[in-house]
Amino acid sequence: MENSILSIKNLHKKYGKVHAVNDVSLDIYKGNVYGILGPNGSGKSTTLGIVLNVVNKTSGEYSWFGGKLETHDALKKVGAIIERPNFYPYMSAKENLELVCKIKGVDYKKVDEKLEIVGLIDRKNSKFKTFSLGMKQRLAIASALLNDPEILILDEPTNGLDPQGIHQVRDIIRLIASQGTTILLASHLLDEVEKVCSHVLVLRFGKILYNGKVDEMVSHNAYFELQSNNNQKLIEALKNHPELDNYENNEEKIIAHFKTQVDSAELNGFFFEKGISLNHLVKRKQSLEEQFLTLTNSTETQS
Amino acid sequence: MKRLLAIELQKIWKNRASKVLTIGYFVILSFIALIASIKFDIGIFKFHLAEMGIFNFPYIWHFNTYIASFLKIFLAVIIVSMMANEYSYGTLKQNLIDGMSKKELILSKFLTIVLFAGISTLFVFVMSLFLGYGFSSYTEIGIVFSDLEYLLAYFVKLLGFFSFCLFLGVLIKRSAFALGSLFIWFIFEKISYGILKFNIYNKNPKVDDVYAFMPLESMSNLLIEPFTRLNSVKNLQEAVGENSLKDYDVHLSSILIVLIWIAIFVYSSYIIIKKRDL
Repeated sequence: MENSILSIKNLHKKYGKVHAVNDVSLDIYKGNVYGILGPNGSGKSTTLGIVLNVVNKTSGEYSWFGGKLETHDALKKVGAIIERPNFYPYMSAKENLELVCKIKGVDYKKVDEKLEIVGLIDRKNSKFKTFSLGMKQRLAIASALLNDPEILILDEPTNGLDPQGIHQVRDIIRLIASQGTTILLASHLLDEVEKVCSHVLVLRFGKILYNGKVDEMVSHNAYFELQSNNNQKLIEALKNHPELDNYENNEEKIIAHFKTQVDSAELNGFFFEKGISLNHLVKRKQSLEEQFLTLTNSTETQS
Repeated sequence: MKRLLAIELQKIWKNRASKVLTIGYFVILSFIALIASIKFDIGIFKFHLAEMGIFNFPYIWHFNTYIASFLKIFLAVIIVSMMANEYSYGTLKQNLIDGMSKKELILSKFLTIVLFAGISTLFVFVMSLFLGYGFSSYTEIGIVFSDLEYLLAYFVKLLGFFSFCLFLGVLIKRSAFALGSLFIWFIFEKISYGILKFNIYNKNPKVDDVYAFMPLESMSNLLIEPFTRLNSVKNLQEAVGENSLKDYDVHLSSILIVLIWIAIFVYSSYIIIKKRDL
């Protein structure tokens, strides 16, 4: 495939008895924003560590850019930040970025340009150790952008930041995504992935639970909130609907799940025929968070 | 290669502690020259070190390299901490992610070590040349530039010691513990040698032959202490009836053993980095 950036096939990683990454496969193509979603310890960082050459795989394959380059050379075209910002505390922001330039073989003039993007140009001569966590994280993003990477990999970029810091980092990510850079974002924060990503990989205990588009995952489980003046009668009618999966009587409102896609107007007509007029009818998509909990809980009960 | 050195030197030079230690090392190294001014005048007994022949060519090569090699511990601290810091700052991981290969990483450290050893050797060479021309009784070119193998031995000795430090830094990850283990290893070599030689094998010279292969012992065998070689000391020894037939030469075999240790240390460092999940 021409636009393949990263391809992971049947990757496994065992730490002793712990199977941290279990048969993970993933293909990343140019121009999309991918999310890896999973609770803490689900294998997100390990998976990224393997493709970034810092963790050794137990078995499986991965290849960068169609396998034309050695991993360390491929990484020169990648920008990545993992877990926490790692820099030399005794060097200034500028010196740290210049060091990264030396490693990646990038011109020094990129340093100021990228510091500008993350809003650290005024602090470029301050030592890294004087930075707040938010500034450190932004410096890490600047560092990852130095080589104008084909793909930006972010592992928990907003972890531990205050709301303002989270906002700044998300704005930067959105800006970068809007410029067409491929992004791979690992997070345990669902709304973060929902807001930014087009594709998502859900991991739990190192296993893939879901791999596909975010919208498909979300729209798959749409449900209705219903309410009428006589809820009892409404429930009776609802039970007769051929596509009904299940329903909950949630105080005032009735939540109805259907086996297939049901149109709102169609449903409204269905009740009207039965002589029930609704005073509330809303089609809701399950948020990624609820979706995620359903996915992860169902495997928990299985195992 | 230039790129790798530039990366490593920036890391060391921007660190104030390393910078102070490096400068301190060369300043103290040049203090060897001050030995020349050691002078005691106690009544009729006159003691002037510089006039006892320690700065005579070619003996000065042996004397200065031996004294200078004591100071290697300064640079050893820098080397151990340059490796241990990479772990504690998480920059080892970051360097790899930024596109350095594991081979390049070890190579950049090794090149730095070679540079340190090389500059030290050059420094001692130039200083000895000046001191020698100032105080030596013989300044004929043929004599001045004889016995230069002591400089080679000095270079190899530093390189071996620094490679050992690098290896310990890679293995142990913490500078204090790495230096501690270096010291423990030193004690271990000395004590086990003492026990084997004097308690178990009853002064059997074979013990020396075996210990010539131990890392620190092989490095110290490169430069034998030069003091008993001085004419005045020799005379004194003969006077008390002790005939010393010590061999002060630099042997090719000792150089080879240390070179093999260097290869082992550097290669194992690479293997550790390669196998370890960082």
